[in-house]
Amino acid sequence: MDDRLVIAGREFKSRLWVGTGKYKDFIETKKAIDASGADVVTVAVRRVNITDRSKDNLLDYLDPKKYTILPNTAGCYSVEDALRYARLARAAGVSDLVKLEVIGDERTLFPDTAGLIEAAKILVKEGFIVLPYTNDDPIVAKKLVDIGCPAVMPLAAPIGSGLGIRNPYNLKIILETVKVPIIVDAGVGTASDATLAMEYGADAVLMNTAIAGAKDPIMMAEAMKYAIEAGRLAYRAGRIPRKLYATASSPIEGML
Amino acid sequence: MPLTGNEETVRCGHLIGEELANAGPGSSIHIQVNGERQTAPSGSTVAGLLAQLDIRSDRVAVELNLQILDRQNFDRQGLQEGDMVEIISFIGGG
Repeated sequence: MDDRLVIAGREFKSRLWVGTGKYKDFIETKKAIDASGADVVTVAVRRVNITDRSKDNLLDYLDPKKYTILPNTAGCYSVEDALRYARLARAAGVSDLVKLEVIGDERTLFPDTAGLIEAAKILVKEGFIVLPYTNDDPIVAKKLVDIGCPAVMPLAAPIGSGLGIRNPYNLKIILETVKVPIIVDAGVGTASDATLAMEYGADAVLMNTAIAGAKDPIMMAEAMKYAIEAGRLAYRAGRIPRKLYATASSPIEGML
Repeated sequence: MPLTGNEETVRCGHLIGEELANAGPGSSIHIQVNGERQTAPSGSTVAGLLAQLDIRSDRVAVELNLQILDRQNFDRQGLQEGDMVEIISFIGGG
């Protein structure tokens, strides 16, 4: 049975989305992404380095025809900045998707949800496909959907913290009440964190540091590929209920 | 002088060299590119600036004096003294 992820009319084979930051070099980036099986990759929007004229461009390693490039507005702390970066990203002519980040605080990198909603509203009106990086507040998630975001990306834990899902109860409420694809983004530490997110019913997981920061990023990328697949299959298979007491697996009948 | 590269490359190099040789005071403009001072030949276009900086025009966005340019106009958009240009592309990020 085909279990493809569909967002804003686009189909994706992989439910693992991967960031391209923090790798040693572009070669390692490409190897890790290939090992992960991801077909959506996030990129940051920055000034071209005029003085360092090495010819290498990230997109020479990640062909936009083969991967879906998802530009982010990382580093933006205001609505104005986020809008500027999103519009510049689209003007580069590669994508009209945007992972919208409006950051509220330098230490936690938590989203400024008020600014996020304001920026999302404007960008949706301008025809962007807005995928907002939000917190685990189901009310904010619902507001983002109401204003036209085709998916929502709640954080598991602070970016790069490796803490895994800090608030599974809120995430479950979001999964139950918010009727668009949910992509858990940020805070994943290791494979089991990703599997758990998928078991809860998340539609995809986005991670960067968990792979790029691992001792062996290529191996971790592969682990994450299986983790996402296992979690998704387990979710679709329907787990057994949790019980306080035992129910034997072997029959009593025929005992001596 | 030995020929390097193909003939077309050599011809282009010769043309730019000629232009620079003819440049005197007043035939170059001072602009800001990505926050740094740059000079460009007077009458440059955005496309010309990108070529001057050896930047491929596909996959970059250009903002001129806080206005994002339509990439189809790179070769038509002229640059003037004091212009502020931002040339933006994608790098690794989460």
